[in-house]
Amino acid sequence: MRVPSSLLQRVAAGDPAAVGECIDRYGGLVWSLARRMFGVAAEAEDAVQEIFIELWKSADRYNPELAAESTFVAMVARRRLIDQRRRVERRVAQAPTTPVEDIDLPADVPQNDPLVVADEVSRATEAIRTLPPDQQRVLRLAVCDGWPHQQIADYLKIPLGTVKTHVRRGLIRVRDRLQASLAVRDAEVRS
Amino acid sequence: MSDAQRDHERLEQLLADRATEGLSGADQAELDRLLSDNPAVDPLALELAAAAAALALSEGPAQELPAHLREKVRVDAARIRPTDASMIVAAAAPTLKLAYAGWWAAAAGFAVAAVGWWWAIAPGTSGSIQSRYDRFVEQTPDLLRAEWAANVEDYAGVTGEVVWSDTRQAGFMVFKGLPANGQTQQYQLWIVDPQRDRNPVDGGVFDIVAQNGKVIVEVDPKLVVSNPQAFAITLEQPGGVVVSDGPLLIVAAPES
Repeated sequence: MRVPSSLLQRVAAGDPAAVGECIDRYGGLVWSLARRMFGVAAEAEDAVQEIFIELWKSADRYNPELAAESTFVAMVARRRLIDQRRRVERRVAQAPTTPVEDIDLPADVPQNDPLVVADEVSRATEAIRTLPPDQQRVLRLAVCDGWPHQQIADYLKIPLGTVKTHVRRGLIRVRDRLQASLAVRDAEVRS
Repeated sequence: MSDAQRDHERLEQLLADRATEGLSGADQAELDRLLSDNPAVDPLALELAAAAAALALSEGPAQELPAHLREKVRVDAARIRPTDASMIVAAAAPTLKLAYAGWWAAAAGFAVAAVGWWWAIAPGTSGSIQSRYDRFVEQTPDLLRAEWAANVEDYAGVTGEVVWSDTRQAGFMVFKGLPANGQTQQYQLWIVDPQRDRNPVDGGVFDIVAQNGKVIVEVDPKLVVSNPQAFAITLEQPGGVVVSDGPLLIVAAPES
């Protein structure tokens, strides 16, 4: 049996303290993602409950060799949020928190926040910086603000196909950067 | 561009769409088919990329989880993941065996993780739906099975079953002969759990796009289910409803 090391592995193993620590560490992250996608607090609260139910159920599936725990949590959260939004057929029309023309990536990844020091986030930031500005805008509206592609197309006055292509290419760029980083890490472990 | 290149680009577009805005039933079926044809493609890589990008693009510190919501989350956790002091001992001393049968599911989970760390988490995950169903049936110790029976005459030809695990809080529905639901309605699963509430639990909505052949759909419970007494399918407005007025079309009751 593997010795649990990550919070989710400890949750899966029944560690009494791990659930509270997990809520402490990721509650704000999940709540922030939910509030960004659902302007109505009640809907965001429902979503947060569903996300954590999913996390408790799937805690023993998390593999720290494949992704940082915060990335895994964000992935589970995003999937549930997208699912809920489609389920209620709600289309969030609220404007993004900052004008899309003024998107500013953090100059440095803050070192005091455990949620963002994950290696994946640094690599993702690097990858996004290499994208043309229009692709960055589309990617931000799609993944961060949770806008449907058609809404982005209408807002930016560009064809739907262009939005989809920007999203696909942007995510592929991030994916390739993450996978390259994993490959380097694996090579270092082997050597 | 060759057919293979076109298929690959379409596969990546569907994965990107799923990672950002979700898929319709027809698109999900197309994605399942393309993934089956391209087993080397990692079905989760773009979702992980989207998650990392979302974290990278988020501004400012995370908002604090409201106290009342934190308590609800904690109560849910206690129902799904009851803590057990013996597990701390087991974790610290890997040679010890797990003391309680209920935790064999957790042990099985670690074994499964070596093969696929995500397969049972939610709809539309790695591998084909058939392979995920097969693994679920083979590797779930507390598997509960019940066969569908028609509750209205029009559905007399429907066959299949539902499989469910309280431990995993997951399951699958198998249908043969369930009619296509069309554009204006969606099927919705209801899980009857008298221990939880007098109202059945929403088990998720789904589409049937073709009448022929076997269809497998993953159960998507919105709340914790502890002792399901029956499963039922209704036809509802797209997106489903909170409480159904519709007739129960087919039902499945596990043998007690």
